Amino acid sequence: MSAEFDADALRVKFAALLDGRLSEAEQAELDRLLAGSAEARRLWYLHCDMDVALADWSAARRASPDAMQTPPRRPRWLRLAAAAAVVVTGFVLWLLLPSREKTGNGVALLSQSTDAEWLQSSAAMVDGAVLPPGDLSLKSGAALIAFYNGARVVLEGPCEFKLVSAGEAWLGSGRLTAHVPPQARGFSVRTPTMRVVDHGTDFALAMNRDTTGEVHVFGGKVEVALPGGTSTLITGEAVRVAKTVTPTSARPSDFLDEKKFVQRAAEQSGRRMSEWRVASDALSSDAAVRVHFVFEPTQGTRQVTNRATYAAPESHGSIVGAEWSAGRWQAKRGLVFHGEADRVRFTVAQSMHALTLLAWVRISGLPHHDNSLLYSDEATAGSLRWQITKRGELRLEIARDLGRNYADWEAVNSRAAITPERLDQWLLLATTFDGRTVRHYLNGELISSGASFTPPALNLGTAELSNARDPVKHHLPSTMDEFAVLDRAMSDTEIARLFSAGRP
Amino acid sequence: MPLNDDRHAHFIRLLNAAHRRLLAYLVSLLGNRHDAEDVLQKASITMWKRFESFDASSVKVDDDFLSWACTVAFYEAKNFQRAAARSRLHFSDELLASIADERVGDLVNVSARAEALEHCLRKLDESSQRLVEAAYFEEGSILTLAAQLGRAPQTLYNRINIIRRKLAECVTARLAGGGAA
Repeated sequence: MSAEFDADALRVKFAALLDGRLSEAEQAELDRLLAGSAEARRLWYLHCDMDVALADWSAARRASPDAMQTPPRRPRWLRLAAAAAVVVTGFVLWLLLPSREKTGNGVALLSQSTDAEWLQSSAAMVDGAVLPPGDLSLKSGAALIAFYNGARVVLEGPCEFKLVSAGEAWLGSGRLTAHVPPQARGFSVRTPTMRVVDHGTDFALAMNRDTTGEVHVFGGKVEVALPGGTSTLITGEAVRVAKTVTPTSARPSDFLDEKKFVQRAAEQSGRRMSEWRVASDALSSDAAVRVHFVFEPTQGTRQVTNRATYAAPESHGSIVGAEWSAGRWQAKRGLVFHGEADRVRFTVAQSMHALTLLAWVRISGLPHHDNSLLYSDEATAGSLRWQITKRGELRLEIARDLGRNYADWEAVNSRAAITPERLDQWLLLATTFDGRTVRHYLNGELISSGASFTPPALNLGTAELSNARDPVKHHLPSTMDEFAVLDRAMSDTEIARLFSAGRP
Repeated sequence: MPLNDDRHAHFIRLLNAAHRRLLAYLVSLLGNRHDAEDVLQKASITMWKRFESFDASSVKVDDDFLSWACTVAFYEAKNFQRAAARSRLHFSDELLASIADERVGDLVNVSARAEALEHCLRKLDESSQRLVEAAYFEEGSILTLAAQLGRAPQTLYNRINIIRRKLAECVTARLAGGGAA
């Protein structure tokens, strides 16, 4: 063994390479070293084998039932959250990740919101979002929160509110109403001055910033614990809590209960849907649109109509298996691709030279290595595949002819953006290609871009939504309520505008 | 696919048996485990499509399948690198060719190295084991960890590098000494 290199230093470089932390110059140097030394290559092979074995070992250790406090093994892309909870440098440190990052510790769902403006960053605050313990303060608007224990709370902005657990919340200021069914009995709300425990079924709470407040009971029995003692209120009773406690009578009309909230939400939903329809009609009449499905059922057929102004007969979609269900708004329909055979088939015979793919989808899982949004039947030059990887990357693949007896698929991935907390929510996915650059968008924002080869033409041909004709499974469990293919690359602004006009 | 179930089952058996070695092979070409997994997935599909052209009846040992599969995987890896060329660093074509040649023969060592490593891991103290677990569990988790701990990522990388050195030395000694280490 010669001293032509330092094995330790080499291992550090290997590690940096595998972690993607090597600079171009360092990579070139490593390349020379490896090319020039069989011993260096032997160390590299050993390092690679260790890398593979260590990854297996870590996954197995994580999954083994006797490992301390081990969470159940989940798909790799779900495991990031758990990975932070480890012991480092000899100290036991149970780490808390930023709260919105994981779904494992959810205590409630954001069931619905109307015009809600949250104090915290609002990207993740969409209907259906899983809510972990933590701040949930509203600047304005209103929201319906469904606690995991079954209690339902309508929050009215502005308010300072925190989720504590699946059966407990904290209200610093503002107003809420709570509906507590039998299985959620014991649901409680703390405030700076009192603790309200519900024994079923409806109450309201209003807190002022000066810590005075009111408790109103509309049905059932509620216990109000104050520093000075506990009192019980029943249907129709209320108390005002300041320096002293004053009994009064309950006034339902002062509060936004679930019924009024739902009515308000329906009005908002109708308004939003009209806004979308204007934008959607404009899209249908865009000269570059090859396919535009808005998924409105046609009586007696299993067809989705291509609403593009110049729609070729073969471009209407035929539904295989998928069933109708609710779309982004109450009055909007969508197609559920639930079963593994579910799909919509259609044909775009014309070649294209640039591309925009748009889909409003609600994804319920990413079970396969590649999960198909759109998949050409053919695998010849210019064929297209639009997919989401298991890790949540949006991917466009274009088939390239390199003179072999099969097509080479060249892919441009986005970063992993469709993360677990994005599941079960309406998302606008978009990918554009101008002949050189592929750009991926999530909810109107550019998330990644990458260079591509320039194909002679893009040929979608006969293709399927949410599935693929392939021996390997690609079915994407999802609901889709709008889809479009354009023969031009839309701009960032256009896509952002489509998102704001179409967000639920 | 027109191939019958028996043939499919046979293919899957061969592929499963070769899986870890193929992955190790691709990691040494691509220098990234996740890319290697992606490429292996793609290569498996290509292998399945071309399995007809592979005369399985002549397979006496799985090694025949392994070298055939390595060839398919090599071209898939080149394909991948061409597609990702603009966004990723990679080895030069000459180096790739010599790794590809040499590594197929080296793959017989994969399982012995894994066994030795298992033994060596058991000798690590619990905190080191946990750090390794975090490092390999998910891409980027070291950065997450470092952020959470308010430490420079380099501190954790350094510590892991020390652990890796210990492991590599232990594995090498164990393989050389026939298990004495």
